[in-house]
Amino acid sequence: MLFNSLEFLLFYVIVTSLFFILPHRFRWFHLLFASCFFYMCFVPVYIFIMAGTILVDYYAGRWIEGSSGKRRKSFLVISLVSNIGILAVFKYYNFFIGNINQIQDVIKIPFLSILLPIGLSFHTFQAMSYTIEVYKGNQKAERHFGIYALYVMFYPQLVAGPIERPQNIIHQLYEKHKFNADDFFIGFKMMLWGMFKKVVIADRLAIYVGQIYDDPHSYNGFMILIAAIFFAIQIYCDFSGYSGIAIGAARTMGFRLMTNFKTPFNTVTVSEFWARWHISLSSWFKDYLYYPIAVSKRDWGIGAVIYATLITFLISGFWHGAGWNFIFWGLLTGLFIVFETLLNIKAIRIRKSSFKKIVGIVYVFAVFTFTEIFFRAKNIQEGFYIVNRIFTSKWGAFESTQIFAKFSLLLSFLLIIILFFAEATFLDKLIDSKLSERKNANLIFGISILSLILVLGIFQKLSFIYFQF
Amino acid sequence: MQLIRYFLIITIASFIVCTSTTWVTNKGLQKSGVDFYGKINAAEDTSNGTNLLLVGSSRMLIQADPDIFDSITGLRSYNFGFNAGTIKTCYNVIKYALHFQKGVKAVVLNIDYNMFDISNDPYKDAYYYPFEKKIEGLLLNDTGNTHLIHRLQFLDISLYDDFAKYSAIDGWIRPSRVVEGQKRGYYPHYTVNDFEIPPKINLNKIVAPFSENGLNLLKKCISLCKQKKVKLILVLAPYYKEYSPDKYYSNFYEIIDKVKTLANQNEIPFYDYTSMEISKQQDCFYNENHLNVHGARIYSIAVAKSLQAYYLYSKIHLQE
Repeated sequence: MLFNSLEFLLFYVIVTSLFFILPHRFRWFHLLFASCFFYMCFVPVYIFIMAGTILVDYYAGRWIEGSSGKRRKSFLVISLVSNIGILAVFKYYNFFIGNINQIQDVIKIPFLSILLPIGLSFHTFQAMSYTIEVYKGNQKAERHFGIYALYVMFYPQLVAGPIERPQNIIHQLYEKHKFNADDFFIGFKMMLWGMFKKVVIADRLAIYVGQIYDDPHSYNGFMILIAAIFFAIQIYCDFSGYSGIAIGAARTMGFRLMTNFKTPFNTVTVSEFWARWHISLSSWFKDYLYYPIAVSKRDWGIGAVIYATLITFLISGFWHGAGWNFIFWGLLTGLFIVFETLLNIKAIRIRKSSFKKIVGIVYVFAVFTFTEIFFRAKNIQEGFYIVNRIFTSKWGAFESTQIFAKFSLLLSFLLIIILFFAEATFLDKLIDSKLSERKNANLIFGISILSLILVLGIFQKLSFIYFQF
Repeated sequence: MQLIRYFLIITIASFIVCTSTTWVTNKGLQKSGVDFYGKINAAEDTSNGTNLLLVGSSRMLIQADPDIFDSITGLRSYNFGFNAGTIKTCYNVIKYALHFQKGVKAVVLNIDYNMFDISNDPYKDAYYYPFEKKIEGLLLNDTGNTHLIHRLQFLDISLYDDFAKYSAIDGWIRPSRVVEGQKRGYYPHYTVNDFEIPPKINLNKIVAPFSENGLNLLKKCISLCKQKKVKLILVLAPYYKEYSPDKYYSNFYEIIDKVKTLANQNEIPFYDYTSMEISKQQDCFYNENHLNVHGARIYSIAVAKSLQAYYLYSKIHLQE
């Protein structure tokens, strides 16, 4: 069940209505049941995998809390190994086997023919953050099994985040949420804007991007460059649109999920960009990987920072996908951050000059567009082919046998301008405004965005890109 | 109360925006004289007296010259070929045209080995046939969602893609636009010999996608024509010999044989032109699968003569 479907609209209306109708003591069960249903709409049988990891982590959390020393650590290791193990089997097994089979031809190890459970990387990381936080003593082990299960499975953020920390969400699951018109209003606006980004912009750009990336050999460098730029914007609109709908859906019920995107294209350094892009994952890596590595190697001075950065981004690349192109993408991004670290480039200094700020924004966008080529390409060789073709092939005009394609392209650019202008200027404040505030602006926002979704939306049920991770 | 008022206002306002945009778009599409919607409008237009439909994919679109068909058969033909059209497109168009054109005597349907894979049909029913409400059961295999939206007419606009929106704007701005070289749906390609020397043939043949649902649609075309008392003629246009699909697809003949069997069972002619002399002449082709204007002329004459001969053989004169 995709957020951009009529089924979800119906599901959302029923679940949210029942949430407020039901007495507080039944609400956790209602949300858990709805979340299970939501998850089972993809591959029903995978609910057992989910149940297995929830059981392991629930008891691991309790045992960690009730023990000390090596025993405490061993329970954490059991939890982490079971979570990473499932991730390894479902997501990385075929990748490793493919590589092993390639370097040796003595034994051909068979591949697994299984579908990746939807959002596996997300809920696995969320589950791991629970046991790690319990181990660190920042979070009490949850006694209520249903609440813990709901923490992992809460449907708005189940398949593509935000990856929540237990400190932020578990206490909210206990709180009694009365219907709050302002929360509902703000949540609705978040969902509306998220939907706009997904169905009006991301899915429109996806058509062009898909066409070019599926057959880059047939297009000139100029058209491939446009596709690369469009993909950078598509992935932003797709993922931040999803996050907006997820956060908004939770907000309408009174839950506050963490912000996942903070106008990342309005940044002047790559480091700043990654601090504002997929914040829940970046902060997960920062807290559980980057800092521990940097601290453990603190004797190395700046070397520790470089080492921790590269390792973190390598793993981040691997988290995104089981392919060398993803690993290379992670490494490349890490290298740009290392480059900024070595040159001591600080966003705060760049922002003091308007000219430098513009150069910074263009630089960040160019770097992101460039690195995302490897993210989107089918494999690393094709990534290099695309880069090579942009710079070496003859830049012809916009070629298309379909005359309307120019109209579509023009419309896309116009919508992108609207998006960036709104997000860079008034949007955050407008979305955060309550019912009694900015009445006219909110009305215009509601009418225009809803109309734009209906008139210009692409309703072909295109899945969200991050669902695959 | 304030929240309810807000939702009420934005719902009503969006309803007005959608309804008026849908109306304006539909009007624009009905004014369009070119491309897909131009042909759909031609299918509705009874003033031309069209009585021979040339239906198929681009291999009909750019290979069948209506003037040649008319001069040989004495009929009034129109080319309903669509780029990347599948059997689903063909069925929809035949049904649509026969609904309006009461005097149609024959339909020439171009068969392609790849037309039976209807999963990738580019012409999604709900927005490519915006006026289908006039014909019951035209929509074929859209998802339940699009059907549901389609019933709420004011939301139709949400089903139209950028091509439809572009065509609507074009219809309003340039209602009498004529595309150079096009005539009655025929879109000749003038380039000669504009493709590379064939590469070495890949010996590992692949299986061309095929679905029984696609074949069932051909059966539906046959029964529809029978029901409307219209002669259906199936044709297989030539491919450039060096690129002939049987060299690439292991099931090419299997698919064609299925169609031939179906044609035999229903006593309808199937004319195979793949071994025509022009299939060996690169200068008759625009690319490996499509004839250029020179080749199209030779091919059109051949098909039109076969059509005429078929009718003579059937002792049913075309003009009757």
